[in-house]
Formats: sequence, structure tokens, C-alpha cells
Amino acid sequence: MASIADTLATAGSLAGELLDRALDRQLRLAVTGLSQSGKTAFITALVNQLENACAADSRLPLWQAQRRGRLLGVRRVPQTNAHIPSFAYTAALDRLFGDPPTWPESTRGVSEVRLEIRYRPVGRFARARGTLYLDIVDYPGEWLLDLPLLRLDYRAWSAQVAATLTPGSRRRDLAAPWTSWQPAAASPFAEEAAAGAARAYTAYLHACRGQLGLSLLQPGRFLLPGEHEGAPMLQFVPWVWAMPGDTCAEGSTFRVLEHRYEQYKKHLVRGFYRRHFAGFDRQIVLVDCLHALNRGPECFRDMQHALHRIMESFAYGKGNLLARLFAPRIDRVLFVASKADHVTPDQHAHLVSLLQHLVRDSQLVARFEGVSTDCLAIASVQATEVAPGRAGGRTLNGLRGHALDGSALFVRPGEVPAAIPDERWWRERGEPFDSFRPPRVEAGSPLPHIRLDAALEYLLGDRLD
Amino acid sequence: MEDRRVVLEPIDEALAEPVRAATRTALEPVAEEPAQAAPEAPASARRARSGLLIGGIGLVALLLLAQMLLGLWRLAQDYPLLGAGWALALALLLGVAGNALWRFWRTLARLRGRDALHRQARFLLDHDGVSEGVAFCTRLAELSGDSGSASFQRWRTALSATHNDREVLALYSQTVLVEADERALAQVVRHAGDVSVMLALSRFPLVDMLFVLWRQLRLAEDVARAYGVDAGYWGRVRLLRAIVRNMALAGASEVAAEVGTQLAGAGVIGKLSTAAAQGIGAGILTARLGLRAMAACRAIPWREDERPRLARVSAGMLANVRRYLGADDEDRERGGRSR
Repeated sequence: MASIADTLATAGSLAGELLDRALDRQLRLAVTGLSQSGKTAFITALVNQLENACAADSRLPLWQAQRRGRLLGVRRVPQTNAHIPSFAYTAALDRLFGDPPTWPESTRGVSEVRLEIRYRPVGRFARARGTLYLDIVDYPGEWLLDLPLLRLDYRAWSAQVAATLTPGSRRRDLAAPWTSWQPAAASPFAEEAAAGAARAYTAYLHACRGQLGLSLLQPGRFLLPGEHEGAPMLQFVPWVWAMPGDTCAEGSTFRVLEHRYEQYKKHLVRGFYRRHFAGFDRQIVLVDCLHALNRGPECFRDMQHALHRIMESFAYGKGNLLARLFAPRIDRVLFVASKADHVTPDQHAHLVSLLQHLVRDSQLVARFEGVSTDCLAIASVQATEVAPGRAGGRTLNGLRGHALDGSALFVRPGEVPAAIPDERWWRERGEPFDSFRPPRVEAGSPLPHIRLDAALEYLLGDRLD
Repeated sequence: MEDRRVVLEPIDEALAEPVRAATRTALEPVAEEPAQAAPEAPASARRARSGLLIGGIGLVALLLLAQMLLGLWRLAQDYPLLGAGWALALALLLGVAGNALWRFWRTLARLRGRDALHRQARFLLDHDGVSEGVAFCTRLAELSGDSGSASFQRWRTALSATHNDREVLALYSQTVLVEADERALAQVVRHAGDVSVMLALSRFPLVDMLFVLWRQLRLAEDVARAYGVDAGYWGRVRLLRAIVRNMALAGASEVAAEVGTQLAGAGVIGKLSTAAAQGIGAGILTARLGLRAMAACRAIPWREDERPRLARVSAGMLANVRRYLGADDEDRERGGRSR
């Protein structure tokens, strides 16, 4: 009898455990943005804040669960997706706490970190303890720029690239090394020559980004090849020379390049959407408006276009290509103007307003599709402190911090335009916005930040009730 | 000039002080101007309607008075002592209610200035300012006597220089004012329960009306005390109007219920249950008024998801009523079974 009772008791507790596990929820939070928008710093800071959320010196008052003391603890746990590289959290943290502190290294591909959040649920039928598994997935925003390629065949895409190389433009000058290849379309494919041209094309893309500050560069994987570096599907160039007829034989240069382009689309573009994008629940898009404003009108417009392309991925219309590929489930998208600590607090409203103008169209579409969106100005790691200072006999609020080279800086940065800047603004704009290096923080204490707690509230708030 | 980048020189704290003082004193004028036009500038149609309303309420009161006197007269003929007792009770209530009403009107006149707080809070919530929130909340805390409380200290430590006014106010609302919310809500539940129990037990419409008037005026005052802030001029006017309306409804619903039960030919049992239902109805009206009073007294308006729900109050109130009237319910059940 006793053994039966024991068995029943064991079964009962097992059922309870299973129920608990079924009720335990998980959330996949995707973080993206164009390169240099602060993704790695954001994730590092987010994990750092979460790990310290229950400490006495935590500063997340705008996050309700934390303020009301419903948070029991957060810790990093091993991720379940073993095929995705781990986010290099410790390395990034070491750099932020280093001497001198430096910004973490940038994203090179998909990476992931998993956190276990324990909290006290509210409500009449609440369990004693809830657990939320939070997967934070980092991926380069450039990969989303490849989405439109799915609609273009090799010829159409090549024509599009050729159109950007207008005579006399700087792009055309930079493109000279690979456009000088001049292959014959029908001749047999020569591996070495093509690989050389592809290398030159990749160098051209890097030059466009580095020298011209452009973001809308395709194919995006050429810039950040990740684990596929050296694969043949990453070795092709757009056909900007005289377009051949339909007579090219199998194995000819044109055919092989066309084939590689299609392989790229199939394995890398589609593959990314299937394997990663379809599983995301929440998305945060980081935008570095200040950098684009510093680089000038051309770069700014380019970023605007690139953002628009990125947003297309989140607009799930019926006729949308994505909707046919998979059933996406992202229900909240947060647009973030990063590096808000590089301007005085009174400019944050302008920064948000500028961001809203940048993503306006996609926000409307997303809302129509039932996806809620919001815009925030944040600083993952607050590199400056606000202090009043004197200039020309007047007292102004300014920022005190250190420039990237370590020299002390105490300035009042200029005003941020509240809407897409017009010609006049570009003509009359003042000096560029300064870059700051991370602050010196005592080891063990949470990093200072601006509004990360508000971002947490928006992204996680409803899941911790 | 300020839209350009400027390299700043450090200043010592003594010089920094006047800057902060300047932002602090800049508070007052902001909300003064849109004051008068906003709340009550209705067309004559509304005035005519409110005239009709007052006339109707007066008529109902007169009729109720007549009915009451008639009832008292009849009662006094059968049971002289009981009649005298009721007359005394009525006179007492009339005195108390009249006194409360008089005090209420008197304070009204002194409170015209206080609405500025509400307007300013709304202004700060609607605009993306950065300089005035902390000073505003500190002033609020001084006015309401919260500046020494633990929650106020928690709010202060949670603040940082990068929070904008909206965030500062939201934090204040969710850290400091929630405690006042709890106190006020407890008052609402208590008064609503009292009203529903009283109306379920009493037999005279006029007594009910006076009782409702008295309790609701007390409720408005208690809620205001919980927040440590006065409801403000227009807030009080609106509240008083709601109180008068509720009072009339308490009387009118009673007459209707009485006629209804008589038509239905129900006995004592039926009457008891209608009385209980009526009591609960009046209690819910009181609770609604209490929530309205809370909204009027709270310096920073609730966000939509923070607003206390009527359901929560009425649940507490019903628990009260059930405790008082439990015996009646059992009676009714027994009666139903014996039939």
C-alpha cells in the first residue's frame, strides 16, 4: 500500500513539475540595427542590468516589475540552440570595465544569450513563482537589407547596381577595381579571375561603408560573411557590363555567376528568415541618428532608405513575400535612438521625434498589421554626465565625459533636428556631435544607462504579470 | 545660438545654484493662462438642461417630503413613540447634512486657485520638457505633507538627471501617490458599504437622501484628506453636482422600487430584497462618486491602466453588505423554502 501511495505522490509532483514547465514561458528578443548602431553595447548593458536588477544599487525604476519588487532574480543559463554562437558577454564586459574602458567589439553574425528571469506573478490565480526564459538574439541589420533580393533575379539586381554607378560619382571611382574585370559572358568560367573580382567587389562595399558612410549595400553577407566566408555563393559580382542574351551556355561565366546569386538567395537570405527571423517574438531596432547627422545629407538619406528596407521585414502584408515564407509572430517592435547620452537631456525629445519621422511609414504599416511599435531615446551605457557649465558668460547644461582618445570633454552639443533635416539645416549645421568613450565604473556595480528600464518595460513588461 | 555646439567651462556649485533656483521658480506662470476658458463655458442649452434638472430634483424632494410627513403622521397615529423617534432622527440628519453642505460651500470660495496644480501636471505630462518635473513633484509633496515619507525618499533616489518630466511625474505617481490611492480607496469602500447597508435597512426615502448626501460629502472630504490635496474649485463643483444627482437618484429609485413591489404584490420578503438591491445600487453610486473624487484630488492623473476599477471597490463593498445583511438573506431563503 505504501508503495502505491508513494508512486501516486511521485506522479503528482511530476505532473506539477510538468505543468510548471508548460506554464514557464519563453521570449525571443531580437536585437538589430545597422553596423555601429550600438547593438553589442546594448546587449551587454541589458544583460548587465538584468543580472544586477535585484541588487540594492540597481537603477531600473521605470521597469514596473523591478520597482514593485516582483523580480526574484535573473541569471544567465546555457542556451538551448547549440548551433547558434554564444554572445561574447564576458569579453564585452571586460572591455567596458577595462582600463581605459572601451566599447565592445561589433557584431559579426548571429549570436545569442539566454537568461532566466524569476518573478512573482500577480493576479488571483497566480502561481507562487513564475519563470521567463529570455533569449536575446543579436544579428546584423545589414542581413535584413537582402530581403528585396528575393524579388529580383540576377539581371534585375545587376541593373540596379549599375544604376548606382553614375559617371563621375565617387561610387564609380571606388568601383573601378572590379568593374575593370570585363569578362566575356559566354566564355568558360574562370574560378581564379572570378574570385579576384569578388574580392575586389567586397573591398568596394567596405569602401562605400567606410569612406562614404553608406549602409544600403548589397549583398549584405559580403560585408559580414560569418561562418560562410570563402563559400562559392559569396563569390559573385553584379553583371554591370553589356547584358548577354539568353544564349549563354551552361558553365559560362554569366551562368555560373547567376547560379551563385540564386544560391546566395536560397541559402543565406531565405535561410536566415526561416531559421532565425520566424522565431522572434519581440524586435528592437537600434538607430544611430547622430552618426548619420555627422556624416552628411547623402549618408543620412542612405540610412533612411536602409531603415525603410529593414522595416519592410516587419510589415507583414498579405501579399508580402515574408508572409508566404513563414508565419511571423513578432508582436512588438521597439525603435531606439541609441547614444542618447551624446546629447543633453533636453534634446532627447527631438531625437525621438527625428526617429519617429525616420520610421513613420513602417510604423503605420506595422500598426495596421496589429504589431505595436514605440520609439525611445536610450543610452545603453551612459558615457557622459549632465552638468551645468559656463560659456561666454552664460550658464548652460552640458555633458562631461571623455573623448574616444581619452581626453576630457565638457561640451554642450548642438541641437538635434526634430524632423528629417532640410537643405537649410545641412547648410547651417554646426560642429559634429562628439563621440565619448565609456565611463569608468567600479567593478561589480551596474553600468549607468538612460532609459534601458523603459525599454525593458516595453519589451518584457506584459510577460511578467 | 543654443543650437550650436559649445565647449563649456566648469562652474562652482555656488553659481550652479541660481540656475536651478531659476528653473524652480519658473513653475508658476506656465499653467496660469489656459485657466478660465477651459472647464465651464457651455451654451445656454446646457444651462436650460441643468435648470430642468434642478427643478426636477426640487419637485422630487418636495414630493418625498410630503410622502415622508404623511408616513410619519400615519406612524405616529399607530405608534406615537416610534413616530417621535423617527422625527427626531430626521431632524438630526437634516442638521448634520445641512452643516456639511454649508461647510462645503464655504471652502469652495477659497479654493479657486488650486486647479493650477492639475493643469500643470497635465501640461508636464503632455510635453517633453526636462526641467520642471522634479520641482513640481517636490512642491506637490510639500503641499500634501509627503515630503518626509519613505516613498518620497524612494522616489528621490530613483531619479536621475536624464529623466524627462513625464518620467519624473510617472515615477512620482507610481511611487508616492499609489500609497494615497490605497488610503483613499479604503475610504471609498467604507463609505459605499455604509450607504448600501443604511439604505437596505431604512424605510424612509427622505432619510435615505439625507444620509446619502451626508456620507458622500464626508467621503469627498476623506478622499481629499487621503491625498493631502484639495480637490480644487471645479473639481468640487463637479463633485457636488454628482452628489446632488446621486441623492436624487437614491430617492427616486426608492419610490420606483416601492411602486414596483406593490404592483407585483410581493410581501415582506420581496420588500426586503428590493431594499437590499437598492442599498447596493446606492452603494455603487457612492463608490463611483468616490472614484471621481479620487480623480479630482489626485494631482497627477492616472494612466489608463492604473485607474482603479469600480469592480474592485464594489467587491469590497459587497463583502461589507453581506456581513451586515447575512441574517436577512438566510431569512429569505428559509421563507422561500417554506412557501
